[in-house]
Amino acid sequence: MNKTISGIAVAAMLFGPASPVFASDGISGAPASAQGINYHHMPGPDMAADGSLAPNGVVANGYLFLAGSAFTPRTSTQTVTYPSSGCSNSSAALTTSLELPQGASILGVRLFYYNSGTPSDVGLFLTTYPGDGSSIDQLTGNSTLNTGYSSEYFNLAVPVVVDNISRAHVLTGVTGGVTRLCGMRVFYSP
Amino acid sequence: MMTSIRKPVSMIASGVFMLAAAMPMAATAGDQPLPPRAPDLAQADQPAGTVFNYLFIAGATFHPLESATAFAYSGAGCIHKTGGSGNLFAHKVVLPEGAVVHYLRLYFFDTSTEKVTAFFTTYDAAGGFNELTSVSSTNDAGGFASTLSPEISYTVDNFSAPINLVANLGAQNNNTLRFCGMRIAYEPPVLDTIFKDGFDPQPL
Repeated sequence: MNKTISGIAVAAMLFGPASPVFASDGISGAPASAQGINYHHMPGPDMAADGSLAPNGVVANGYLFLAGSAFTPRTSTQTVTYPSSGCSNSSAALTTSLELPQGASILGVRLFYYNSGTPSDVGLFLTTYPGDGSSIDQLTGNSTLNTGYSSEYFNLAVPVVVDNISRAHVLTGVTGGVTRLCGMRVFYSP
Repeated sequence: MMTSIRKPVSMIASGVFMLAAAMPMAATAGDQPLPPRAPDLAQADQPAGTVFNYLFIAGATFHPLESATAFAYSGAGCIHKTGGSGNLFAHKVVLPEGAVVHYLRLYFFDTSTEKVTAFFTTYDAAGGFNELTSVSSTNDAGGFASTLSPEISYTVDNFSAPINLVANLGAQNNNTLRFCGMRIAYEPPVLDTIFKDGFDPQPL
């Protein structure tokens, strides 16, 4: 079931053509994307603020929300573009470090993205690196919607316990085609 | 005050050069595990009794300071230079106010004649910087290894001194020298909420 944020749609319709909305994210003058009216939240257990839908026995009310434009390319040969609104597109993987308190339990990650109808998707990875040449993809996922701005939650079957002494935790996003990575929100139990 | 060690001292390794066979490079996440390295015996940043907290940042999440720097993803969270100019990569450090930083550990893969050097650097945003400690890779027969910096005692001051971790990947432009990450060992601040207003009752 998708949930459409109708308030934004109403505002966009009222003020769209006559009074353009301007972004305030470092590209002053660039109009905010009108595609915001198609914002779909796919439901997930991370949407309950009190954590009531988290696995039994887990009090989950921690979130870390990182914008897509805070992710950085991990090669110098890939192209990166910034359409606006905290979203990025790149020809290869974009990464950022995940810094959470020691012992926190990561329950899942919600992927925020934009896809305007192309068959491509946005990939998500939560990967841990101990620095010894090995790695574990703790969570992987791919977007499924192509109706504008959307978000989908990817659940960890077994929570990942943050261990800052033994491994680095990294979020990686892969944008296919002209899709955009707009952010990731980690759902965790502190 | 400025203490500069921008350019790491080169050529410690002058003995045996063991170039590993070319390692496969992963193009995306989903890396295939590789054999683990030999254990690091310098464990001063992991004392018994667990007094430290840690901040562990993978090399792949560092960004170059200059667009002219050419680099690639080596797999396993590591990056390496492929050419261009500029050797420096950075990552911001966000720690709680009052935390005390003690050690910096560098993770790397090194079968080259060059080395990667890690710096813990603070800035004043007015032209000054202070590289409080640093540590370099060593030519390691097994490839993957870690080295530990000398101990420091730096109290995080988020009001006046932003902090970066900086890696200098030197002149090696292939995957025989990879930067895989850094780990900070720090003491968290003591949050004394009981006596923060003093022991004696305060007038309301």
